[in-house]
Amino acid sequence: MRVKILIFAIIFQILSLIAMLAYAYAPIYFGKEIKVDVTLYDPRDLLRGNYVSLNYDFSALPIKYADLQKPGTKIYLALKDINGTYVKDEYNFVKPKNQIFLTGRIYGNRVKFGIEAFFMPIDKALQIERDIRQKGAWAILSVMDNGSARIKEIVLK
Amino acid sequence: MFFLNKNFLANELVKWRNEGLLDRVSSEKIAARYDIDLQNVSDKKSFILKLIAYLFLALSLITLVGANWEEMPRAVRLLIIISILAFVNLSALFMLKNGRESMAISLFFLGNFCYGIAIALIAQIYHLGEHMLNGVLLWAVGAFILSIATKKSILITQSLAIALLWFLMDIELRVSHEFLIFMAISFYMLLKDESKALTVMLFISIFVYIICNMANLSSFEFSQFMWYITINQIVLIGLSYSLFGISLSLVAQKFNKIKIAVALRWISLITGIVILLFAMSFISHRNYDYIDLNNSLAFYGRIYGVLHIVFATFSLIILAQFKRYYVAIIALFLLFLPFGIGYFFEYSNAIYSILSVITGAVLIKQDYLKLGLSTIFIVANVRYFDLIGDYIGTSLLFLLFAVIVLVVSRNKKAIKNES
Repeated sequence: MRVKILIFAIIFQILSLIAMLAYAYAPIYFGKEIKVDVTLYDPRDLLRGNYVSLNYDFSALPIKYADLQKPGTKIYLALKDINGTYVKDEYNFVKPKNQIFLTGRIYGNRVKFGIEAFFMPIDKALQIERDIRQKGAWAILSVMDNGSARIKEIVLK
Repeated sequence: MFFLNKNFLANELVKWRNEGLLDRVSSEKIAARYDIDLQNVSDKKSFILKLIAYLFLALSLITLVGANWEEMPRAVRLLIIISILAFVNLSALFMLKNGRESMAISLFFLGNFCYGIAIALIAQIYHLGEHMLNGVLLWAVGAFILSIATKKSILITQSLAIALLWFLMDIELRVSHEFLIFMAISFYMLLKDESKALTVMLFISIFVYIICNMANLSSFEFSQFMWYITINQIVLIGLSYSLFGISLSLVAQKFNKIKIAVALRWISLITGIVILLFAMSFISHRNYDYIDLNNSLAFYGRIYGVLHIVFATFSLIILAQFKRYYVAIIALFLLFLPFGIGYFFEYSNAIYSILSVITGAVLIKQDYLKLGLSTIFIVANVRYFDLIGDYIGTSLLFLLFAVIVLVVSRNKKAIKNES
């Protein structure tokens, strides 16, 4: 009996990893590809190693929302296409219809959409930081219908 | 023989035997005289060393994940890490089936780390930058399920530590009351499988949970004013919580839960003394014009005040029941301390100093000689440097310290003479 429970626990761990994998990969497979402006800087995550922290213009939350909402509240950002680059249209607490949007959560006066970190080796991170400072860059995102997004790549302008 | 001395003797016997000072037969004879299992002492040490070794192995894997092996395809990276997880856990299962329990637990311990590493790796590969705490929660849940299946307290301790990490990471957004579930499971497992490590981890978890709730309700970060109130409350509730821990250790000892009693007493004492010394050095600021702090009854009206009363009262009842009258006096003192601090806030560091000296003297009386002496010497030092300039006040305070220590030592002498 004890062995059976242990096997169940081991299988649970492995299945939960596969579920996490599916959750992480789904936007890349099912999502629509869009391009947004991005800047970055280079921090380090103790558990996951080096990454560049991505900063988007649309992440700054208008004061009227930031003051009223608890940290962690869900918010939707509708995007509009301007010459092939997607930019902020408006923030809303209701899912936008017939429009591409990102789902995020409020952290103080900013919104996090899950597209703020891009992992890469430290040399490459420092190089891309220098390049972006000179030329600017786009983040290529894959966005699903429910607003969850993943970064596919960072492209220099 | 007192159980702490028994532990000391057991460790010394193993050491003497390893150094060749004592032969096997003599060491076992001495051990048998005091009802000590020497084999168990030896096994425990090698088990702890194994755990440390696997901890380093896990750290080495975490560092490897951090290296970003970009040249390696995603699928290969995942396959490697999931295979390691499966291999480690299945090896542990194999060991368990073959009766090698200590090796199996060590491997499950490593397996729980590998599981967390796999989660971190998936987050890295797919650039998951948000809600990483969901990943840590998944880690805690998976680790708990495996640990419960093994019914081993050391693995529950590890899982509770991961859950505590998640709780602390989540604090940026909210106080996660779901953490209570992890603590309840851990408490249940502690009753099933006594463990010093799990006792300490639970004690810390409950304390952190209370403090975080308190900080959250008091809007900790918003103003210096609230900060002083919150720190003052943390000190008061921390002291009564520590004393409650000491009282509970007596109950645990009565029910023959010796390991829990020893660990609880140790962690409660250390926590209580650290809080007292902190309060004595930092609470009393010269700027004490905070109206709310001077409202001496305000604290009792808040939820943490109620909790303080509960901890102090239960401590008082238990200590009186076990005839620990000196410690019971401290409990009584603590019960009215919020009132005293509220009313005489400008003298709070003198009050905390007196309480520290009383605690030090009681500790010496209860045979915690080094701990008691250290506490008294730290108080003397801090007071000497802090109050220098106010010579009369310092002198009076030192005089009071001397009287306290003399009274306690005199009573000790009287009791000794009687016995």
